[in-house]
Amino acid sequence: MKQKAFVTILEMIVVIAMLIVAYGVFFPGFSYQNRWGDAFISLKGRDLTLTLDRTGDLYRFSFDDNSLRAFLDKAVPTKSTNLVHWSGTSGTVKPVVTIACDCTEEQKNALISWIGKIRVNNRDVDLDVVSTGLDPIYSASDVLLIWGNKDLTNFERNLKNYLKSGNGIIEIMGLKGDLDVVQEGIFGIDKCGNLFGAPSCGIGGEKEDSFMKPDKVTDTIYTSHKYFHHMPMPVRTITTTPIPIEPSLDPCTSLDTYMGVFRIRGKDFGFWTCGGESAYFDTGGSPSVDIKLIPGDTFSLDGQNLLLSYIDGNVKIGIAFLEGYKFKDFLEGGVKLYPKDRDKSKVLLSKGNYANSDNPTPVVILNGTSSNVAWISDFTKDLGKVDDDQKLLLASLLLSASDKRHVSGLGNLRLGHLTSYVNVVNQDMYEIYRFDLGLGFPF
Amino acid sequence: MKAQLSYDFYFSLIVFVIFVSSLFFRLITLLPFYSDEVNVQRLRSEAYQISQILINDAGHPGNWHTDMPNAKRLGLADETANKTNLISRAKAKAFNGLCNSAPDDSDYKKVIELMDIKDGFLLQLTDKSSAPAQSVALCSPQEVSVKTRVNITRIVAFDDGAFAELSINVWDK
Repeated sequence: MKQKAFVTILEMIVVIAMLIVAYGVFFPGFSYQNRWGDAFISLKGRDLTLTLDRTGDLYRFSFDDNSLRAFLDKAVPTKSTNLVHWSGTSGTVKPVVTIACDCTEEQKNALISWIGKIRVNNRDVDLDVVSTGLDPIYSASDVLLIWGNKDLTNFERNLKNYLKSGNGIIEIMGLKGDLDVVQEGIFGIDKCGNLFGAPSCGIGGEKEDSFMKPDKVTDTIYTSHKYFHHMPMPVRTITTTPIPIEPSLDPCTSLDTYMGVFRIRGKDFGFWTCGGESAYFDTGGSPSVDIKLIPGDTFSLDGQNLLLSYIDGNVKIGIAFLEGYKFKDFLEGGVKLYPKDRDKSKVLLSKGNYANSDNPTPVVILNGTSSNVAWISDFTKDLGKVDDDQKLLLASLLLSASDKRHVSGLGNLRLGHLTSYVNVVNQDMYEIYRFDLGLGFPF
Repeated sequence: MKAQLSYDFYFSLIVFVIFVSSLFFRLITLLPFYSDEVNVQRLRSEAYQISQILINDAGHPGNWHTDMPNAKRLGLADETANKTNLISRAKAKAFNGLCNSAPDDSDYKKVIELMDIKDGFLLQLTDKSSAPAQSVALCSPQEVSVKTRVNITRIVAFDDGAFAELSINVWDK
C-alpha cells in the first residue's frame, strides 16, 4: 500500500509539471509588438536630413561633426531622448585625408608645408602626413605615397591588400633602371621600348607637359584632371610689405598688405594681399605690380590662364589653374614609360609624343578603374624649388586616389536607422556625394 | 467505500479548475489590451497624417494666410518653394492667430473643422534655432479630458533659414 500511494503522488507531481509546461508553451504571455520605435527614428532621420538641406546647412554639417552634433542637440536633445547619432560621407574627399608617406623625414616635412591644408568648395581638407614603411603599411591611412626609386618586389602582397581596402597608391619615381614585376603589375606601366620597340620611343623636343583630356567621367584620368583644374592651390603670404603699385592701377587703401610668391613653370611671381579683400600681382616684365584682382577674377601668368579663387585674410590666397594649363616639362631624362595595356587614355600628363610615333610620352600615368594608382615622374630633386603647379598636381593625385568613405561616430546599436541623402555642391568644383545620418538607441 | 471520493479525484479537480480559470482570465483580459493597442496605433497614424499635411501641404488656397476668410484647408508648407519639410513662418503665425483669436473655443473648433479632425488635436510649433527656444504657434482646446493620447514630433525648416519642432497630439475622448 505504501508503495502504491507513493507512486500516485509522484505521478501527480509529474502531471502538474507537464501541465505547467504545456500551458506555457500553448498560451505564452501576450505582448503587442509594434515597430513604432523603428518608424520613429526612421522618420526623425529623414526629417533632420531634409531640414538640414532646407536650411542650407547640409553641406557644412556633412564635413563638420561638431556643428552637426550641436544641431542635433538642439533639434532632438540626445540626452533626454537617449538617441545617439553617427554620420558619414562617401564619394568625395574626406575632411581629413591621411597620407602614409614612404619617404624621408625631409620629404615628409616638405609635403606638409606644400599641401598640408587645401580649401575646396569652401571647406578645408586637412592632409595629415605620417611616415610608414612598406612592411607593414600604416593601415589607418587613405593613400600611400612611395617617394623615390624602390624595389617593390617583396611588397606585392602588402600593396595589393592596401589597395583592396579602398585606398590608393601614388609613386614619385624616376624609374631609370629596370621595372620590377610589382611596378609593372600594380602601376600598369612598362618600358616603351618593350611595347613598341626602341625606334618608336625617342624623346621629342617638347618643352612643356600638357594634360590629356578625358572624354567621359568613367575615364581613369577624369577625377585627377578635374581636381587639378578646379581645386585652388593655397599660396601663403610671407611677410608684410608695402605694395609697389604702378601709378595707373587702383591703389590699395588698406595698411594690411602682405607679400607672397607664387611659383609656376620655374618662375617666381610676387603678389600682395590688400586688406584681405583684393590681391595685386606682378605678372613680370616690370618692377611693380601690374594687375589688381578680387576673388573670381581670371588672369594670365607666363601665358597660362589662372583664377583667383579666394583670399583668406592676409594669410593665403587660392589660385585655380584653368583648362589648357601647361607645365614646364619635368619628365626626368631617360624615363620612357607607357601604360602596359597600351591604353593611352591612362596618361594624364604627357610631354608631347614619342618621336616617330603618335603615342604620348607620359609624365603621369594612372591605373585602376577609379585612378587610385598613379606614377608621376620625379619633380622633387630640389625640394626647395618645387613649383606650385607641381604641388597641386601631386595633391590632385593624392586626393583622387584616396579612400573616399568617411564615417564618424559609432555603429553597433540595439536599434538604428541610416538615412542617406545625395547632395551636390559646385563652388570651385562640381561634387556629388552621399551624406549618411544614422540615428539609434544604444539600449 | 462507494460514497467516498479519493484524494486523487480532489487533486485532479483542483488542478483542472485552476487550469481552466487561468485560461479564461487570460483570454478575457487579452481582448481589451489588444483593442487599446490597436487604438493607439490608429491615433499615431492619425497624428502622422496631420503632421504630414501641415508640413508638406500649402493649404487651399496656397496663400490662405493672407486671405483667411476664404481658407478651405490649412497647411504650413511654403507655396512658393514647394519643398518638403519647408514651412512658411508667415503661415505658422497666421495659424497661431487663427487658433487663438477668440476667448472661447470657437476659433479652435474652426481650425479642427478646416483640418477635418474628429476628436481634436494639440499643435505646438517651437523655433529651436534660437536660444532659448521660442514658441511660434500653439493651438489647443481650453479644456479636454482624454482617454488615450499620443504625440508625434517632427523637425522642419522655416523659409527664413531657422528650424523648428512641430509637436502634434491627438486623442480619444
